[in-house]
Amino acid sequence: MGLVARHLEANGIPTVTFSCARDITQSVRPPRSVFLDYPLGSTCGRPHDAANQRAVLLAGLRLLETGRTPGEIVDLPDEWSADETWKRLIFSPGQPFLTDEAEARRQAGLDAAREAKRRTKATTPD
Amino acid sequence: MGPPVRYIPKTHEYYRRLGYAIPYKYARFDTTPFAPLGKPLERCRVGLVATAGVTLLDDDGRPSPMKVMGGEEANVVEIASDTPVERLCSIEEHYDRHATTVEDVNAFFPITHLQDLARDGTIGGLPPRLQKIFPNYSHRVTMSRDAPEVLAQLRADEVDAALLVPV
Repeated sequence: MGLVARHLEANGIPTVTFSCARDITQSVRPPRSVFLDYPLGSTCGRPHDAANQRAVLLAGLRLLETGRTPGEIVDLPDEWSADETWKRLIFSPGQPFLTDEAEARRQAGLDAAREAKRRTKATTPD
Repeated sequence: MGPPVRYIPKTHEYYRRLGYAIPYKYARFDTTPFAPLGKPLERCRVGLVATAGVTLLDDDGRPSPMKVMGGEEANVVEIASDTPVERLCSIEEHYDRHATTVEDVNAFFPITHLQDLARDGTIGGLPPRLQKIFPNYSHRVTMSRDAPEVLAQLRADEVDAALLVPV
């Protein structure tokens, strides 16, 4: 998504990117980002908490207006829970990230991407 | 509050254990483009582009089927910005299912809040359509096909600024 943000911005459309993965955002460096330290999937606020979701959105809009520094990341103060075990367990061997069915679909996606790349290479002269 | 999760080393280690020899290469840039907002927010048409797995429910309340990521078929899906959130449902799988839920579409595709902000004048308005992109593992495909398609749609809809939401 950071790549799309960069493309839009390079073509004159200001963007703000919401993120729950600070290190990935730091690597991609989208033009403006709002970081929320919540689990992946709750990028725009806590589920079933409309006030929190609206506050996250407003923080993004404020950054659109006031941001002057390319690559700026605004860190929101919200805490998901006092217990941060989820941060240790995510992508750990004992807790599969995807269900088996979703992992199979992911694998199919990877295979399709690889196949598309192979076809492109085959038809592009060196 | 402890430090944020370091997803890059965590995912590399996780997929290495699953038997993938070559680690996914996260995009890395040292500089970033920047376009200042040209007018006040209350006069801006604000778009939304998300990778979230949201789909429209049909008249019988059934979600449109999931498609496989990574193919070469059209990848940018339009969702009318006046769609009531009740007509959307999540088919997202790539989220922390052990810690959170994707039952509430507005927590990753904030369509109701944007409708409210347009109504109360915080923003100038919404374009007729919002965009959902299927994430792609290939940076080349994202940059050569999906990003230009999103740009073309936003330009056609005279969008002044865009909110981008990965899952």
